[in-house]
Amino acid sequence: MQRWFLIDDGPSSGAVNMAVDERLLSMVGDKGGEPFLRLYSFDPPAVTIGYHQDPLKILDVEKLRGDGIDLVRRITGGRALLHEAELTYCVAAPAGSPSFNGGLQETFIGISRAIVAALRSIGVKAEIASGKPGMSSGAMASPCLVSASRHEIVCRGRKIAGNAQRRTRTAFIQHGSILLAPGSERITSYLRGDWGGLEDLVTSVRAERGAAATGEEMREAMKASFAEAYGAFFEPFVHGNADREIIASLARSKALEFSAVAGGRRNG
Amino acid sequence: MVPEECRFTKEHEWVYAEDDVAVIGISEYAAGELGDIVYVELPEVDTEVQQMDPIGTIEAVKTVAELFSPVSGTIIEINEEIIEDHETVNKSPFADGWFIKIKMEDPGELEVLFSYEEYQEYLGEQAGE
Repeated sequence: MQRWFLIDDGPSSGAVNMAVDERLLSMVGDKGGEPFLRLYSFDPPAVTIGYHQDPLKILDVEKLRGDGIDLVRRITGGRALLHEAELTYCVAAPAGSPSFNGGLQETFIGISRAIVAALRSIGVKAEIASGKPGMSSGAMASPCLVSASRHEIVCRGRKIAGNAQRRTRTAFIQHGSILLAPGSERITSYLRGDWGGLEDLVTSVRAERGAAATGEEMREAMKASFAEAYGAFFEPFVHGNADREIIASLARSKALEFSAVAGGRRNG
Repeated sequence: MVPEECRFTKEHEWVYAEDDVAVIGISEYAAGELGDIVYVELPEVDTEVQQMDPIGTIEAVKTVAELFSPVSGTIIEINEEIIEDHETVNKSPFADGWFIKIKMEDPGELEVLFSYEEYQEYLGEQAGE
């Protein structure tokens, strides 16, 4: 059995959520210790964009602001995603962790398997799509949910979870969304260009089993499946004061990055 | 560049040395693991770097990976072609898909990197062989 740290967070702003994940990447790399599983959600809803994306080119930022939706940049890859009606997870582990001793793709597969097991345990017939290796579908402006890639988690060919990674010399994080109910497909109304509807490309727990999972139900399913998949036992982790200050500082800079864009407001 | 004549890092970068100039790229294994590369961020020419300093990022469909300088020195050239045409990295990681050239301070630093044979063994260990 390997000890993992568990951070069972409630909802936070996009800036705070991305700040915590970024802090986990540096913490776990510095410490070279146990992996982390963090479970969280977004309030208010937020659009996150990939590390190298230019929001002005891909999004109607003014409309986002008008609808009270946060905008924040991830440190991970992937494309724009609206976080709403989902459970979000982050796995952080040091390089060389016994739980993740394979390469990048093996890490994706392992985490995807654990999420599939969690979904199946609550009655959702999820599976890992075979997909062409690393396939990027079209322009960078396209939403995350239409980009097909290896090891996507799907139900009846429709995406039910998305994921993205950041890797450094000493650690990696993978974070992603598990769609509990419809909502995330609304991203298309904020994207530049006509992307049509995503209804045929994405699904959710509610759509698959006729009732939405509560955040609590999905959290418990995730804890159980990760414990099983990685032979892990969880110890709750609470950030110390120094950590909290670093996270608050990171969150401020993330919120400020787009505060001047389209008359945005400060948040986080 | 011939892979057998390169040195390698644990981060799956290769270095090909010609006198005191090091040409640097990512290995075929790394390009395959990342999948389609969609963005490459490289440092400016004349930047001075120390061995294993972060020097940029490479983004694939789902992953942002940091790049590190395998040697200390001054960056004398970056490969503009891969910034414009990322596919070159996937298609030709050991030749046209090179990233940067560094004028090395100390070519002796290459000795701490893997030889081709050692890198193959490292890949085998990663695959659980």
